[in-house]
Amino acid sequence: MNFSEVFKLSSLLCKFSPDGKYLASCVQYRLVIRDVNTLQILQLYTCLDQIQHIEWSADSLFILCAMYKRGLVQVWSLEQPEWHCRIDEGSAGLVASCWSPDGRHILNTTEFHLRITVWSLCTKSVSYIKYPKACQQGITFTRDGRYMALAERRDCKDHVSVFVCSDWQLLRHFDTETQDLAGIEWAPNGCVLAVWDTCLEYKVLLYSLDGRLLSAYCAYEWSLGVKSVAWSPSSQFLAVGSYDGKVRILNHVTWKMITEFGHPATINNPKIVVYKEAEKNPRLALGRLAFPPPRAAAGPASTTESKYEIASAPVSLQTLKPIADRANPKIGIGALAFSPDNYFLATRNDSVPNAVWIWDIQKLRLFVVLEQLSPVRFFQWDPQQPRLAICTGGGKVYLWSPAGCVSVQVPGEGDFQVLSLCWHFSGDSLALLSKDHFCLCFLETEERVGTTFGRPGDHT
Amino acid sequence: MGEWMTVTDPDLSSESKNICQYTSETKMSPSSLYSQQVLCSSIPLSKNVHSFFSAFCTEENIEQSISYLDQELTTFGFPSLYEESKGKDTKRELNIVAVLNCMNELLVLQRKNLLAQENVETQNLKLGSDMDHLQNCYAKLKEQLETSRREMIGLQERDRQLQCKNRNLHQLLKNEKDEVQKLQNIIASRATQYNHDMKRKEREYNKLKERLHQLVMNKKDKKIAMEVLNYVGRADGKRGSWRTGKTEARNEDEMYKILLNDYEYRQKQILMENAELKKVLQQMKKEMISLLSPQKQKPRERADDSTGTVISDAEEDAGELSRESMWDLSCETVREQLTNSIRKQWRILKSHVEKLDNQVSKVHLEGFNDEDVISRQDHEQETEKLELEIQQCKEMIKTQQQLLQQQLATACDDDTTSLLRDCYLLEEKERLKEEWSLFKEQKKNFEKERRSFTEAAIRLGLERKAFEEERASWLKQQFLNMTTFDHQNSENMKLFSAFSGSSDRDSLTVHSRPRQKKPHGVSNGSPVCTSKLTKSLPASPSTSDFCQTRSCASEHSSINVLNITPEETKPNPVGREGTNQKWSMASRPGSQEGCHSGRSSTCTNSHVEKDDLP
Repeated sequence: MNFSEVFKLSSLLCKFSPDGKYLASCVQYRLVIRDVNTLQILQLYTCLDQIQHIEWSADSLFILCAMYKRGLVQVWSLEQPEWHCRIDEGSAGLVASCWSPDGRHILNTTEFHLRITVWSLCTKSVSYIKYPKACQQGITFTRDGRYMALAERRDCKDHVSVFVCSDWQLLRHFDTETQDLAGIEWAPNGCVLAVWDTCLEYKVLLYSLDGRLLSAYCAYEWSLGVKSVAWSPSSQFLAVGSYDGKVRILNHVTWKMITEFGHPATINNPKIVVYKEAEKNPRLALGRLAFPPPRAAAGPASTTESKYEIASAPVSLQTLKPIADRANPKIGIGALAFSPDNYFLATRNDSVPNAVWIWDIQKLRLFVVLEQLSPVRFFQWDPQQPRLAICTGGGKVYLWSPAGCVSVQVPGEGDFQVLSLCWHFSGDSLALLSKDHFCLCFLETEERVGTTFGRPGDHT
Repeated sequence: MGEWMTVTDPDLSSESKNICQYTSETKMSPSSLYSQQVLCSSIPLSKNVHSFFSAFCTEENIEQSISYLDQELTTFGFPSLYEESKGKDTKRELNIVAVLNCMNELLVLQRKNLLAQENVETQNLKLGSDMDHLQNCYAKLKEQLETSRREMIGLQERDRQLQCKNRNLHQLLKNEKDEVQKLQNIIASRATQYNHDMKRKEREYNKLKERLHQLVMNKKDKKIAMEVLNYVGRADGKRGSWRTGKTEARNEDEMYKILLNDYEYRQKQILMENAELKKVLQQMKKEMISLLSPQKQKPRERADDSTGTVISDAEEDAGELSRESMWDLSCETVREQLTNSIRKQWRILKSHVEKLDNQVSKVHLEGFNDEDVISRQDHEQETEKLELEIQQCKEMIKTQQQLLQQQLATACDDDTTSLLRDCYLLEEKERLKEEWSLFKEQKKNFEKERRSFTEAAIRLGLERKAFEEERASWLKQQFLNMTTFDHQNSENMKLFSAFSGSSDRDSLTVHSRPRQKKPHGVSNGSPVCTSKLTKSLPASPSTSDFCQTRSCASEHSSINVLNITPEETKPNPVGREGTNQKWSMASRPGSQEGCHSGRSSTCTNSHVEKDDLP
């Protein structure tokens, strides 16, 4: 595993281009485009203000930079550095900006969700979509880029509109049986739309592309409901994480629940491998025992190395007692993601913030639990293979694969607190983002990572 | 109190009756009433007697008193004090004898009365104590009754309180329920109110939004604009098209196409899955048929028609299906056929399995193979035991190895290594030392035992010798006494005597064996003696045998006597096997020596017995 040198970064804005050739990063009001392999600067664009959001177009030809404060979007072309485009939303304001899947239209959401403006880069035409709903995830495109679903609110009722992205024609418009719609998400095959209600009510609705209600699912009533939703890449399963600390897997044939994954704080089954991150005492091998221990002298915890240990059968995980009288309590399944090959599901229970649970989807049971020393901030699957990268806001990045798991210290002077990460689409490299810096981590394809530490032996 | 009295009354009456009987018995005088009077009067009388006596009789009134006494006595049924006069006028003479008799009787009576009185007094005392006891009991019971009554009252009070409480709680519950109901109503009304308000707010918000929209958008805001250097081409290279009804229709078409594709894809997948499942079913069916076919003959033989026909049906079905091979056609009939045949076969299989189960259970019920079939528990126990044994063996091997190493270490005489080993095996060594001392002690004990045994053997030998000598002298004497005595008879006698001491000799052989092994014998005479004994013993297998072979017994005995010499030096060609056996057994460890030698002696016994018979 190799690390690049550390580059400057602001607002955690660092993105690989979809074709994997470029890496865009922002430093204040400057946009830097680098070659992924050489990391040499290819282009340097200067925006009008501090960049708050960047996004690559699907064909990697353009990149948009949004400056919400000024209601501005600037678009840059990689092919023609002199080409520029500036979209000003004026007094309407701007809260969100994104590309349409064709890479020739930009969708800007104005303040107060008054409307969505669709700007075209090909023609002078501007389209408006009124009544978008302000919610967690109100806009979603199918994977093939043909259709867009948009959550709307009209006459105190939730609606979903399906647009054809090629000409922004409204294809379907239907109201949903939700109290207060919270999110929508297309299945990867683009034929089924999952709609879930606000956390006050557990309700998951599934609509066909043509607007028919396929199924409605409700696990329980009178309690906080859905917190997170994820489709499996094969569109076969819909995983619904809820505030009761369970993940329910729905199947695509009957849209009924096949199984329920509880997240107990104690793991008794000896078949389940529990990896516990443990601090390694540095310099112990040299036989020099400093007093007071060097950890205290060194100060930040991130400098001490750590390793994974396999905990024996009854393991109790650190749990957080939620504060009941506060909004957005730290309970429930806050994050869940399927591995690209459909074999695994990674989840995080917010009341057990240090643990990542990895479930075997073939056998529909818990497979591995990773317990970190500090709360898990983010995790993401390698796009090519079942390999999970985890960061906890410390100086280490953690990788898990069925062969085992490993904790890697990010080298370099000073702290490098990994707050977020993103994979290159080939799975060969990984961008690690800290507050002010980023670096690339290159993973050797020959050597499998899992062989270094904490290998359980017979898990394949 | 009254009750108690009535209870004890009969006792008293019976007592008195007893006394009555007693008195009536002593005096031959009649009625019980009278005797009771006696009894009653006797008590004060006895007390007054002395004081009365002094004043009763004086010098003057002797006559009167005598006559009075006589009168009294006669009235009480005593014989008269006077002599019976011949004539009427003559003064009756005082009969001293009668007086004395009367006195005596009176005294006896008095004593008896005293005794009775004593009895009655003790009785009275007893009854008094009984009464006291009962009174105590009564008081106690009364107390108990009181306390229990109090308790009961307390409990009743508590019960009442609890009931009261319960009632209160019920009331509270009801109140709470009412409260809950009220709150629910409030919540519901609030919720509706909230929803209503929300809707109103949202509408207002929408209105505001609308207004804002108008204000912001219709102002011809110059700022809302896009500056582009030049427009870029579409990604697909096509030009944008106008929105018309045609495009709309096209979009619809496309959408349905996508949906259709998806459904087709899914259908294909399902078909594939179905085909797989069918294949599995078919295979299962085939396997079932093959499994059940050997069974088929038996039911037919037993004229079990139903199963037989079902099987044949199934076979036909299978044949049809395989002939038609229409797996691709998922038509109803095929499916039905397949599922039906599978169902049938499954039924057969089930019945078969059930039958087997029944058989098994029957066998279990009969308890036929209960001994043969080892229960799982036993099995486990056995394995556990074996494992333990293995463990022990391993340990033993280990210790042996260690000992060997130790020995080697001492043999090679390397000081440092031995030291090292010593420090490693110090504990082990100590343990061994302990064991060694134990062994030594045991050995000592054994030696002691052996010595005592040999001593006993010697003593016995000496005794035997003396006995032999005595017998010889006796025989000689007899011989001398009866010269006409048959030679054979004398021999017979001798052998019989030898036989009668066989049990003694058994023990002798047992104890003498160790001595044979010992290089330093205790005495020179004894080995000869014992060897002779062992050899002479087999000559008498049993009395009946002996009687049958009596004619040749003399020769055998003589032969045996000839074979007195020690076995190892001059083994008997016939009994060699026997002796060999004996020695091999004797070479076993010392601890088992006793029993082994005992056994070996029996071995030799049987062996030589065989020798003798032919």
